[in-house]
Amino acid sequence: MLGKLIKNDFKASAHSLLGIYLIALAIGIFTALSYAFEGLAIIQAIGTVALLILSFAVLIIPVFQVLTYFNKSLYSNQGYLSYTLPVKSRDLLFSKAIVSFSWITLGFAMYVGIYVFVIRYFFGKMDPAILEQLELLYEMIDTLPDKSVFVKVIVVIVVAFFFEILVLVSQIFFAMTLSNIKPLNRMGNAGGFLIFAGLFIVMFYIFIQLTQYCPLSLYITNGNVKLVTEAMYGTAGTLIGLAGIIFQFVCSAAMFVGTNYLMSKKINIR
Amino acid sequence: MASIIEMDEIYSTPIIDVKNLHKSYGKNQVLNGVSVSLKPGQIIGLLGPNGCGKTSLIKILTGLINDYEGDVKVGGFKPGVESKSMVAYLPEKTYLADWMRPIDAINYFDDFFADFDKQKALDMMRHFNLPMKQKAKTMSKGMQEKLQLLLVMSRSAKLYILDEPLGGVDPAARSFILDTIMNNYSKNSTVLLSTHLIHDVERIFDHVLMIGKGQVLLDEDTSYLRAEGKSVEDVFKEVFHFAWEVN
Repeated sequence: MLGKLIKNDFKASAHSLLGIYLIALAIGIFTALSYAFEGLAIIQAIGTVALLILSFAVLIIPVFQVLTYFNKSLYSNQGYLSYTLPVKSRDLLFSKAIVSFSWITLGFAMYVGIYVFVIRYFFGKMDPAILEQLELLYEMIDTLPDKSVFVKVIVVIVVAFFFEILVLVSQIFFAMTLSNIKPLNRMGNAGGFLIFAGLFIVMFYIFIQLTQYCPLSLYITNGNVKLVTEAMYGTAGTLIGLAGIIFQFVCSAAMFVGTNYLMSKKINIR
Repeated sequence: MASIIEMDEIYSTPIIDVKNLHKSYGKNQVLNGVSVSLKPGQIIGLLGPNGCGKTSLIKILTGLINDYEGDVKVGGFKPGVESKSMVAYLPEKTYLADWMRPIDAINYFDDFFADFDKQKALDMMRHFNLPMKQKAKTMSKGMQEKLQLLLVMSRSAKLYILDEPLGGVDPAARSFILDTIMNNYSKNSTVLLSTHLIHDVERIFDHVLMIGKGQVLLDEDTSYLRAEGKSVEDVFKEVFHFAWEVN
């Protein structure tokens, strides 16, 4: 049943999200083609500006879409169908988490892709020094004595990045679910946004404090990446604090468990 | 022989078994110690005036309300995956997503309900003159209600729970809805039909359950009432006249 839930959640959310990605992709291809020819400066400039605007759209719209889709499919009239399907509430939650994670990740990937493209082609054309600096960076990576460290750092960054998206999804789901339970449901959708904003700000503040000051970090050297009991603060970038990520992991897991509990025990579909 | 024993077991287990059910919204107590045990294989009228707790009881049976006190079993199971797989529920509200077309809704039900008959749904869709590819958001309320009715009645469910299917429609539509229900429900199954419009439907009921002020005021076979020379509507007026007097 989980597979069917995921399929249908993708289908439902694609109706409002796929369009924006396809537009970004089409403009990206069109602009890239325009850079292959001389004398199309105006088209190149218009395409690049459109891409920059779209980069914000593909970053922000999926987050809002995930928020509204979760709320609509579970806590509006559609909840009468979702909650009477012969599936466990944790499957409903898991399916929506996977689909939301995928859309937001795709949005971030397109955002990064657009900026790499704009830096490489637009700014690179305006200022050749940027291209030289990029070449220098590639050479530096090429001449590293042990490339496995570089790979490890990239893996840590990518995992942390995926993890942050998961934290964001758990915050959205927990906030929207909590806002549909008495007495918070009196505030309507605004309550969900307020709870989400509050959770996001508080958790981010604690994350920053723990990351900087808690003595638990990854130490990156030329030869290896290892765990050390030192705080990241004041080490000029040689350490990556871990306590903040652990805090977020615990909070995120607790919010998923809490959301499932509220969905299965406390929610009244109005 | 084994099948006779199995049939005996099926018909001896109550399809709905509720004991001492309480549900309140803040200070407003909507169900106050409701206990009822309903045999399978009947058409049951869940009757009562607006706001008497019918919809709350239905929402508890279908798993839409979870914070209640008391013991609730549907087909021998607490409201959950097992009970939901045997209940075909038609709510008062339209629950289809805006983007859904009839064909999408049919495929959706086909994905999730093992007892859903896709071919029957497609036939009913044509019979109801519903366009296969018109989005729900552009349909009239009547078309949406027809679509939901065909989705529910295309299942071979053990229990059909129909919440006010006749409310807010004209007499012709009422007759169409009733005919659709009577022609399509599985004959061995149970139908729990909630309504406050008794006159049009009382002939189909085998059993009636009247709820008022959060309590069961009458739980009786219609054959007994008819033997006493009373119509369900007469009894309804008696019961609720009394209920309103004492409350």
